[in-house]
Amino acid sequence: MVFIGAMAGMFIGAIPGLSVSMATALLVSVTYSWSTEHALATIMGVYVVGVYSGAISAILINIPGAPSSVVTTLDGYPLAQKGEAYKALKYATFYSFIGSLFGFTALGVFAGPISNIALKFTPMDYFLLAIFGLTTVGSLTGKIFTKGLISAAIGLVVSMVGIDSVLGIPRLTFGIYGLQTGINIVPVLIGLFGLSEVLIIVSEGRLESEVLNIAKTKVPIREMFRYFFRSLYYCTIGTFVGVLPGVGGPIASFLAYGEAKRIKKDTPVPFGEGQIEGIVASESANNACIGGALIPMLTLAVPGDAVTAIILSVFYVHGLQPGPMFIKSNPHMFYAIFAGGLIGSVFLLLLGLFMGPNIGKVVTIPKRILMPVIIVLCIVAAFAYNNRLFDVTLMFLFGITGFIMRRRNYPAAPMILAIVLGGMMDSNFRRAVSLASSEERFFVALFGRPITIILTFLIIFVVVSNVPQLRRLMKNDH
Amino acid sequence: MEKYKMKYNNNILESIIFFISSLLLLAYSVFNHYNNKNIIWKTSPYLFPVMISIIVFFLSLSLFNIGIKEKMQEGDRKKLNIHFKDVAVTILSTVVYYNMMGFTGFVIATILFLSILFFYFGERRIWLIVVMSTGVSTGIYVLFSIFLKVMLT
Repeated sequence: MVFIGAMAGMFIGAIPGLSVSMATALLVSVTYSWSTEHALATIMGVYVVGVYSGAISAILINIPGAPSSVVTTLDGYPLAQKGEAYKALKYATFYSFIGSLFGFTALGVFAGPISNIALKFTPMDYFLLAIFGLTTVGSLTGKIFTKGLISAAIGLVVSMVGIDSVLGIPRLTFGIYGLQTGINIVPVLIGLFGLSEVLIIVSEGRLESEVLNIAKTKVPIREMFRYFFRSLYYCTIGTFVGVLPGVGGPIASFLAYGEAKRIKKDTPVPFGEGQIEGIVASESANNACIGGALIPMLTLAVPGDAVTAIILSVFYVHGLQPGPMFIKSNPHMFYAIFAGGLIGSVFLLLLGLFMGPNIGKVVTIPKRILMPVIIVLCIVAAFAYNNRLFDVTLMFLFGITGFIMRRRNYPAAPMILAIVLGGMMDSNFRRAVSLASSEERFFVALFGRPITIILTFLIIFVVVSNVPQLRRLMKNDH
Repeated sequence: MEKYKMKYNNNILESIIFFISSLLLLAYSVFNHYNNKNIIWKTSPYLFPVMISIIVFFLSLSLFNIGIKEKMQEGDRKKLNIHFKDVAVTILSTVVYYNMMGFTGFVIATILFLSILFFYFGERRIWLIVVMSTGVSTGIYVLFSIFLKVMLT
């Protein structure tokens, strides 16, 4: 059953617009009549391999198959453009495998202690963590920090559209019925990365040139393991971020990428131009996040990300109750998930090494053939998510917005991250302010805790270190 | 590439747009907050939009500053060769395709859309156009409509 899920995840994750969340949601209804163990095993296969296979399209055609593969495009696609697509895919496969194994090992060993740390995070800490993620992303992508922050701010505004989750009041809907349920991330993702990429290629007249060939390049095993010990650090980041409910793969991969940039300052190949460590960081972290996201889901009944939220519904459909006593009262279910994840990781490695480059043969098709097909896929995929034509309209609008943003050097990645995190930020901020307002000393209640202080300093550090004058000063010091 | 001097700096124009947008967002949030009775600021759904509008306000000033510095240092700019006509044709044909689906059904609309765009983008092998447009349309229909139960027209 894991193999069936893995095969499905391989194709679904690789095709932009077909999300792992959508596949998992469909599987909930398909597997309703199956035994719980079989249902969970299939879903784990889809989940583990689907998160990885988003990297295939990210590397080959600069369109991430999933939000957590956005960072992989930064270095994966430039490498592919240099004729090293096969090498990039190999590294992505291997370190996704390492990340998955690490995440599931962490699940098995640290479920209890990690949950205790996560319980100490207050709403303000979640809010600041999201701000830290956005400021980091704004500084990592794009040439001008201000433009990165503006992109994030636009994303936050987009995330606020719809019915407010706390008071049920419509916000920024302007009477448009389709906006009442908010702007879903999937059509935005498809538009910003799918349709806008097509428009960029068309605008630059790159249709006549043949697309990159995937030349099979041998990567020695010693070379492959060169990044192993640093990948364990990135896996740790991914696992810890995965534990925090509602945060998920995208921020894990961004934080890991930021760390990679910080650790490896003087690289022969700069980050963003095909640096292998960028792919290693992103893929290790986003796959390690899977194991981490399962920890709060199983122990606290709080999903770590969208897919685990859907997996939670599988439990309820089958009459099970996740929570603090789950592992003790249903150990065989816990081991079914654990085993499904580990087996899924092995299939990730095998399918990725043998099938990944073959799926990537889509890149050898000339762009004048590929681009119209991608437009059709974008439209169908945007519609498929919710069976709403309005989502196709949104995808189209965001596609044009993405095209204009890219032409004007506004990075799209901060916007995507802001849309994903905006709802969580809003509700946590208001919760934090409400809680602090009942205390005598408002600012101490808001910022007085050690975790909060550390996060605040990290944000200030990121913002200050991106001030142009200070940046020049730091460069001169070196 | 042709070189020319820009009359207006794009960053300055964008900063003005964001400046105005931030004020509009602020006005919208404050107006709607006070329009809804019995809501206090600490639980107001408009608290976060107010914060964002203030942040965008300052960011627009920063962008304006960047634009001014660029304008002072500005030399000759390289004119980029952008195929606006191709972009317009792509956007327009996508809009027509999307609207046509309701009348002709997904498969026929997609075959026509793909055939036209393949030809427009430079593919001249008619047999390939026919095979690819028919094959892709049918393949996508089978995959999404039959296997994934998506209700395509």
